[in-house]
Amino acid sequence: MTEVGATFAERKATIKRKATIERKGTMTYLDFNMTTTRTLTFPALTAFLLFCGFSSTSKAEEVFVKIHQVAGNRIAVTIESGGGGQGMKSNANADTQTAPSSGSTRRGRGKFGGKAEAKSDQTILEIPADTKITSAMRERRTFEFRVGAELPGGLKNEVFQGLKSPLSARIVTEDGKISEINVITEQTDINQSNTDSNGAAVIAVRPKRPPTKK
Amino acid sequence: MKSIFLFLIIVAAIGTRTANAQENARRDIDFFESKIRPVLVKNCYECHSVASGKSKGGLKVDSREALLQGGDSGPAIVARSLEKSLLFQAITYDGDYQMPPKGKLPDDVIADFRKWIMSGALDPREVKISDDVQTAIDVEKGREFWSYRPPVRRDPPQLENVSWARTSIDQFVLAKLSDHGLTPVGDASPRTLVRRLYFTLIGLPPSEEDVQRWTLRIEASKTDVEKQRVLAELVDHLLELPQYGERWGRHWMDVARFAESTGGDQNNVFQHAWRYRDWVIDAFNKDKPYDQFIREQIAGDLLPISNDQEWADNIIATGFLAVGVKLVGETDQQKYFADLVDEQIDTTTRAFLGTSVACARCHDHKFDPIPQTDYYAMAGIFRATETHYGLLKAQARQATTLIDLTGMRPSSGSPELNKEEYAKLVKARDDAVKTLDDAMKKIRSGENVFRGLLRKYRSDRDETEAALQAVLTNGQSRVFAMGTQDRDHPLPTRLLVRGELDQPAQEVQRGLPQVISQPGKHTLTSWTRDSAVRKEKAEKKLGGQSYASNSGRLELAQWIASRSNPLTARVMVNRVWYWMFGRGLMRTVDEFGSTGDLPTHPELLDYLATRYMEEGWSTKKLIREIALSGTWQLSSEYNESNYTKDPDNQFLWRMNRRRLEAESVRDAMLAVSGQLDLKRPVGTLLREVGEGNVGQNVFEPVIRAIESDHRSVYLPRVRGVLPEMLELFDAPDASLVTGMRETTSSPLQSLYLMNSPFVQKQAEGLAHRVQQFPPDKRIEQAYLIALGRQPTDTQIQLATEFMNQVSKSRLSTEQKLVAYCQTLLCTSEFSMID
Repeated sequence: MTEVGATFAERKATIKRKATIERKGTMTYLDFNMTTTRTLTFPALTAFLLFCGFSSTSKAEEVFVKIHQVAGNRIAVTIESGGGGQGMKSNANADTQTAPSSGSTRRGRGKFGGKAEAKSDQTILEIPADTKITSAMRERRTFEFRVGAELPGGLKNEVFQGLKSPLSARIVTEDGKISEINVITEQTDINQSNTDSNGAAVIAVRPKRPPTKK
Repeated sequence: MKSIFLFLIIVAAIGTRTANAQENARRDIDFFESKIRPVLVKNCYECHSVASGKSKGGLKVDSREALLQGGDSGPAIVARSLEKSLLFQAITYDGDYQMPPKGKLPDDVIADFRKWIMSGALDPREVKISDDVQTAIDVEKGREFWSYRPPVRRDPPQLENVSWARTSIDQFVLAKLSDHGLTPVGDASPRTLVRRLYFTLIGLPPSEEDVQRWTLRIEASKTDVEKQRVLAELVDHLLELPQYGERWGRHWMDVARFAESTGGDQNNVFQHAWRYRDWVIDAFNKDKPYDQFIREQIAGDLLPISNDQEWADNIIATGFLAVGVKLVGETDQQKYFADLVDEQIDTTTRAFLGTSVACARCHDHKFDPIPQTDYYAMAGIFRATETHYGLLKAQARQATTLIDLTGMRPSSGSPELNKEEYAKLVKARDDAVKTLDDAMKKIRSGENVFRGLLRKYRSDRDETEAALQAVLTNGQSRVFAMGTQDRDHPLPTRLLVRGELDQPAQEVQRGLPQVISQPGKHTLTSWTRDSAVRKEKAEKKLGGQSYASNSGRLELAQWIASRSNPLTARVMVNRVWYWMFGRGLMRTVDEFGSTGDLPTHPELLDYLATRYMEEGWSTKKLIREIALSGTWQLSSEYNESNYTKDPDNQFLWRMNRRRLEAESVRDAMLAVSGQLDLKRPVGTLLREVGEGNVGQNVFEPVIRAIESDHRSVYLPRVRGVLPEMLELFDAPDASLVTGMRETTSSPLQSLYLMNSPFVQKQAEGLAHRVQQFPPDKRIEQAYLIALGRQPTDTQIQLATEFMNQVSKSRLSTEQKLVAYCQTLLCTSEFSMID
C-alpha cells in the first residue's frame, strides 16, 4: 500500500486532497481520493482526528453508508441519502426473510422511496481495532434494520474481501468514536448463510477438510 | 506550506462548528433527560426494560440501541420521522398499538416526544464498556479440593480375611464395609446373575434357552474360579453383541441430552440428529477409547483423517454440540448466539467434567472456584465455532445450514427416488413457489392475504425446496449431518457483566477453567506451548506441531481427554459404576464440585480412574472388571443388621434392586412377545413427519402415532413429545445433561400397563408363544419367558384359580391366557433388575 522510496515532494504531488469537509447530521466526512490515502499517513491521521473532533459533539449517532473498499483498518464509504436507507428493498428476494444481496439491492420506491443514488465521492474512515462489526439485515416487510451476529475477523471477514459491489452498512459512533459497523450481507444467519448470492436457498455446506494423518 | 495553510483553515472552521455543535448537543441531552427519559421510566420500563426482565412485543425502551432496534413490529424510533416512529404512533393512539395501556399521555408530553424525534431523537443512553471485572476467587486454594487434584493410583488395601474378595474392587469395598461394621450378603443365584447381566449389559431379558444354558453351566462349576470363568465368558459374549452398544449408547445419549428437536420456544424437528445417535451406538460397540470418543465429539471436524469415511464419521460425532435445546424463535441473533454457546459450555463441562462452568456466565461461580473470566475464556472457543443444525428459514428465525457429506460414504438414510418421484418433487416446489408468488402479487396490488396463510406458503416453499435439494438429479439422496465447523476467524470475546450483552467489560483470552488446569497454563496459548502437551499431541496423532485449530476446540478436546485432567476419567468411571449398580461411587454423577456429594469410596474411584486410563480408556474392560467383582455379584437380599447401620446401602453390602429404564421395559416386553425387531432402522422414524415446528407444521398426534417394533433407542425423540411409555417411565426430556435418571411410581404407570394397546399387543404375542405348549405347561412357560424362572407352587395354584375364575366369564381360553400374560408383564418383577 505504501509507495516505498517516494520522496516527500513526490508524495505531495500525488496527493489529491480535496479537503472537502462535509457535515451531514452530526457525522463528518472527509473526501479523499482512494489513491491518495495509501501514500500519506498525514491525511489519514488528519481525517481521523477531524472525524473524532466533529463527532465528539454528537454522543451517539448512526449513519448509513455503502462500503466500497476495505484495506487493512480503513474503509472507503459513500453516504447513503434518503432517510438512512429506509425503503431499500431487494428485488430478488422480496418475499424471503433473507437479506437482499448487496448486488441486488436498489433504492426503494413508493412511500419508502429514497432519494438519488449516493454521491460518487468516497470517504476514507479508519476503523478502531475494538469496533464491533456485525452482519445486519432489513426486515422484509417493515424494512426494519436488524443487527445480526458478529462477523468473525472483523474487517478481515470474507464479506469484505474482494468486494465486487458495494456493501450497505450502518456506522454507529459513540462519543466521537466508531463503535459499531453493521453490514448488510447475505450472511444473515447466526452462523452462516443459507442463501447464495443469487438468493437461492442453500441447505447444506461442504465441510472444510482437516489435515491427513501421517 | 500550502497544505499546512489549508490544514489551519480547516482547524479554525472546525473550532467554530464544534463549539456550536457542542452547545446544541448539550441542549438536546438536557431535553432528553428532563422531558423524555422520566416519561419512559414512569410509563414504559415496567413492561419494556432489562430491569423489569420484560420486553413485551420484543421491545425494550431502556437504551438507545433498543429503541432503534424496536420490537416485533419494527423500530420504535426513527429519527426525524413521526410516521415511521412506532413509539410516537403508539403514544398518540394512532397506530395499531395504544401505549401506555393505562391511558393516553398528556398532550404536552406528546408534544415533547414530537419535538424530540423531529430534532434527531438524541438519546445519550449508551452501551458503555464496563470497568474490568475482578474476581475474589482464590483459584490456588480451590485446587486443594479433592476432585481438582489428579487421581492417584492406589494399591488395594491388604485385609486379613480376604476370602470373599475376588478382585481389587472387592478389596476396596470390603475395607470400607469392615470400617463400618458391615458384612457383605451372599452371592446372587446363578439365574439372577444371568438375568442381571443381560439387562445391565444389553438391556434385554435372556431367552428361556439362554437362562437355562448359562445357569446350568454356572451351577455345574465346581470351584469359584471355574464359575468366574463361565461368567467371564458370558460377559464377553454380551459385550460383543450389537445390542450392547444400543444399551450403553442410550446411557450416553442421556448425558449428551440427545433429542431430535430443538425444544425451547418453537420445538422444530431435527431430521438429521439420528446420525449422531448411530455414531454413539457404533462407538460403544467398537469400544472406541473414551479419550478418542471425547475428542471426536468436541472437535471431530478438526482431527486429522485417513480417508473420507473417517472424516464423515468425525463430523457426525460433533453432532454432540449441535443437538441441544435451542430457542430458534429468538429475534436477537446476538442473544441467541450467546445462549447457544452457553448451552454448549454447560453440556461439555457437565458431561465430561461433572462441573457446572455455565453457572459463571453472569457472575463468579457461587460455590466452585470458577471465576467469570473462565466462562468467557471457554465461550471464546465456542464463539469461534459454527454450529450447523439445519432447519428452514421460513420455520425458524435462527435456522442454519447442515453439513453436506455426500460422496463421503455414509448411507443417506433415505430411499432413492425414481424419475417420477423426482419429477413430483420438482412440481411440488414449483407449485409452492407459484402459490407464494401469486399471494405476493395480491399483496402488492393492495389485496389482503391472511398473514398465517402467507407464513404457510413460505414454509411450503422452503420445505419443498429443501426436499428437492436433498436429492441429486439422479434420484440419489444427498447425505446431510448436524455438526460443527471452525470459523475462519475467532470473535473477540468480552466478559459480560451479569451476562448482559449490553454490558461488556474486559476482553478475555480463549482458554480453560483455571482450577482444573496447571497453574499458569489455562490460556490456549500457554497450554499448547507446554512440552508435555506437545508430546501427548504427537502420541495421539492430533496433527503436526504447527497444526492448531482456529477456534481452539481441538485444544479444548485434547485438554479434556488428557490424562492430566483430574476429572475426566473419574467422572466417566463413576458414570459406568452408576450404570452398573444404579448408584455412583459419588452419588451426584453430574456434579463433582463442592455442591456434589463426597465419594463413598474415594480410593476405589481413583483406582478405577487410573486403571481406566492405563487400560487405554476401554469402557468394555472397565465394565468387565466391575461385572466380575464379588461386589457386583452380590445378592440383593435384606440383612437387618446391615440395614440398621447403612439403610441406603452406601457401602455396598448388597446389590441395589432397581427398576429398569423406560426403554428396557419396553424392549423387554417386545422381546418376550417375540415381536422385537433387532435390526437397526435406516435413518429416523421422523422422516415421514417432515420438517417444521411441533404444533404448526408437524403435529404431536402424528409423532405419537409412529409405531415401531425396533428397540426403543431408535424411537423418535422429540422434546416434549416423547413416546408415551418412555415419558411415563421417567425417560428424560433431554433438556439438560442427565447422568442419573429418576425413578418415580405413579398410578399412570399402572393404568398404562393395564390399558395400553401396546402392552395388550405384547401380551397377545406372549400368549401366542405360550400356546405352542401343552395346556399344563403354559403357566410355567409364561414365567420362564417373562421372568426367567419357574413359578412357585403358590403361583401355579393362584394362576390356576385365576384361570378357572375367569373361565366362568365369557372370555375364551386364549383371552384368559392373554389376560394372564399381561398380568405378568405388569408385575414389578418383570421391570426390575434384581
